[in-house]
Amino acid sequence: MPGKVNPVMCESMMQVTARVMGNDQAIAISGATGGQFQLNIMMPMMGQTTLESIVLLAKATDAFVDFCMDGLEANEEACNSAVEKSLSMVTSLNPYIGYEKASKLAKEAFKTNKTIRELCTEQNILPADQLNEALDPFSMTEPHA
Amino acid sequence: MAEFRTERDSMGDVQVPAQAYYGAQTQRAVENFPISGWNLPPELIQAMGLVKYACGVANRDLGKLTGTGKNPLNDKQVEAMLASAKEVAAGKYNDQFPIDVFQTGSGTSSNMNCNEVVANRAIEMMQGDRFAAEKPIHPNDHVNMGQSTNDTFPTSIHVAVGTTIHNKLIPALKRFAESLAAKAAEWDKIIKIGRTHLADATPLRLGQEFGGFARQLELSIDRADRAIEAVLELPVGGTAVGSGINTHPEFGGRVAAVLADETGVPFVEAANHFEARMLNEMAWWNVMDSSGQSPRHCSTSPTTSAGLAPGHAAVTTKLKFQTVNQVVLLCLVR
Repeated sequence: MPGKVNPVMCESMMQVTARVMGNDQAIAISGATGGQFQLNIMMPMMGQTTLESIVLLAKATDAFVDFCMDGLEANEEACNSAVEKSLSMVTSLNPYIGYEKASKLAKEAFKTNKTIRELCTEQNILPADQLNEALDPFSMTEPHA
Repeated sequence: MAEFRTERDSMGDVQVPAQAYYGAQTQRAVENFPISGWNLPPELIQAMGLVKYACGVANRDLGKLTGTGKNPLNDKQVEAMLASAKEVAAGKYNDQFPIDVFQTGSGTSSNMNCNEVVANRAIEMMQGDRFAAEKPIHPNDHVNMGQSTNDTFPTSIHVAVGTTIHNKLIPALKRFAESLAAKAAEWDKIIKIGRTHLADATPLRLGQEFGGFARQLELSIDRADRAIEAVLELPVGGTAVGSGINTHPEFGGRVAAVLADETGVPFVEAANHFEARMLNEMAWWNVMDSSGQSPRHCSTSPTTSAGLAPGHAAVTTKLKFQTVNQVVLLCLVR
């Protein structure tokens, strides 16, 4: 598809992590069965495998930071929209209208595909300023005394 | 010039590539183990060179190389041997280590490979004939002096693992942590919906979420530091079975001190040399497990990441970011 940009750095990183987890298993088996009296007889593979894991993780992390992490941008609009559309917004209305009424609102919002804010406004559930205060998502991101 | 030269050892004639710095023992191992086509990693080859250098310094300072042995060196030969080992440590001869990873389990073939390369290069530095059968600087008598594969090879692995974590992995993790922390600060005012049970939960700030990721990386750095601790004690000085036969009582401590000085990683002689090889496997288990992450964490990570992934719209173009992050953070330095 022309113009399609895929999350390739993440895919590369995920392959690295799978490999490292597999390597870990090889080391565990070598530890469990390789130590024979005064010698562990699986040392070259253990050394190679451990170093492979360390180097893969280091290089993958560097590449991930350079080509993905540092350039990440937040899609603020999508974030806001997901919050606004979420039925969970009804939670903060509990102290104002009670659990029963809040549940009904949530179900109606789900059925009608309207947001909690739209329904509250339509049905005059709360005065506008109080509604804005109740549905302020920032206040939901921290504990309040 | 012939493509191969003929070398002779206790088992007879061997055809060795004409210009190779290694000799008969290495070539036999190449022929015996046509397994994977993978050579030892460069970090390990270079660590072997550094360990040979440190052993040479200790033997020199203890008067062993120039002393009353059967085949004493002069001071110039000693310095050539040290310089040669340093070249191996610098990676100059990585292509002279052709033996497969899946070889003798003690790494004897690779240890002999290193002894041969260091000796032959040192002979060359002394304007000698590195192809001659006579070895004025000898792979066993001088380069391997006071060592057994069973202490010098695992010591090299410890040095390679410790320095690679110290020089490569931890700096990379620090960059990652800093980048995540910067995003956490930048996005502190952006609100997103939380997800639990794969479904919408209450909101949180994108900065809070990335602050959590940054902390995970900080903890990963701690675990990487602890992984280094597991390899600080070196088996060198215990020789073949831990008894220290054929080596000077100060040898192990002196070698460890040189290695610590050269690498900046505080290596020490093993507190107990019988443990250092007999329970060699335990040390390795510690390296891999010092993350404190047992495999059960792998099974929790997909759950966590799946829970976060549907919130991907929080971050443009990186649908899988949270997924990856969780896996990476939980599994790093295992």
